[in-house]
Amino acid sequence: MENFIGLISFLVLMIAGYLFGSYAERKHYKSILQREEQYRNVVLMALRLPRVSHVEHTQLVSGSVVISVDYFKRFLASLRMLVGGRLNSYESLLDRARREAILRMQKQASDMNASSVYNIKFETSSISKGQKDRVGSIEVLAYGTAIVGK
Amino acid sequence: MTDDQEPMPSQNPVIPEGINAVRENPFKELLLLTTGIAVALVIVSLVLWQSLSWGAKFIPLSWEMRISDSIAQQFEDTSEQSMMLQARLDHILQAMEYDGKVPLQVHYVDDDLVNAFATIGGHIFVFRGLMDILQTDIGLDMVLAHEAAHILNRDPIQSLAGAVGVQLVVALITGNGDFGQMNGIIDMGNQLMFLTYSREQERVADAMALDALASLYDDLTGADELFVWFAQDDNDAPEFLSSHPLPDARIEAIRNRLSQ
Repeated sequence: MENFIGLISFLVLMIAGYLFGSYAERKHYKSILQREEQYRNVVLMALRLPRVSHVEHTQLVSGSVVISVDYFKRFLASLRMLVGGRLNSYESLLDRARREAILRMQKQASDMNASSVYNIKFETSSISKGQKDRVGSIEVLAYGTAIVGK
Repeated sequence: MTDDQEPMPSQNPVIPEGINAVRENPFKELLLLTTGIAVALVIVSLVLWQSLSWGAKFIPLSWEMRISDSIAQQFEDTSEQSMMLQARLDHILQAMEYDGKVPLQVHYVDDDLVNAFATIGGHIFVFRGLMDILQTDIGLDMVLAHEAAHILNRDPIQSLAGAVGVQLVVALITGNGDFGQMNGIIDMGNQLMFLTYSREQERVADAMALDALASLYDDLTGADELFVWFAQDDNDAPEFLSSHPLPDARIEAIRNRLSQ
């Protein structure tokens, strides 16, 4: 009986994780693509020193995202960890997080009429570090120097 | 800013999708991984089960007793039935030419269950329910000889070792194994009662039992008494049948032997 309840709750969590997770992912990618188009003119540069003249002022801009993995993805990853290979289920999650962090940074830059952001860096940190049986969540932080021209 | 540098881009490039994250149906991956891992798991379990069962026969019977003694103590009794059964068993063991280095003990269990089983450490348990059914001496001796044959063939420890191996694999994979349990086999009391044997092990034990009975009785008629009862009354059988399958086939084997 105990095993049966365990199996049912596992299936419910898997199905819920898959349905909500894939719905959220589709919706998020749609939004990401649309906003990337919107902020395409806020130029992102990894260079440390700006190559623009007439700089009015510069300012630190940042975008931060905290994401959590769903049950389905976590189970898939735990199976994958037995045999090795690409963790596809986590890759899409982190891809979304990085792009979302950049978009939030771009929005901040755009709000102050900046034309570009230089010296972009990423930070990633795990929030549920090393805790067994906890759903993993991580933060992705993107930051850079916004250049506001005249 | 110097003139030889390329001009500053006016907008961000469109980066193609599907490089950092592959967009494919995760169900495909789930299916592939689960089947692959399940197959590997079954193979590892089988290998471990087979090799442990094979290797277990090299464990001396006296070592088995150390594991089982604490359980057997609970059943220690000096009732009339136990003494009677023990006397019969000793008689049968003589017929089997057992060297007697490790004593085999039989315990009477006051319970309705129609069952008798042999477990590790040379212990045989006979339930009241079974004794009530068996009317003849030879019927009871057949059961005792059959269980004694299991012990002499080292079937209980082989069955247990195989089961422990499979449990180990399952515990390793699911990650919630209680490895303390591996030390305290005592926790597996249930398992010691319901060790299962292969058909081959049952066949060999039947044959050994009949050999022993042949030297004790002039006529083997009635040795199949218990199996006949099970074949008639299969409502009551499941628990016993789970460890002693196919009564019909075994009656036939015994009858063949009788007709020789």
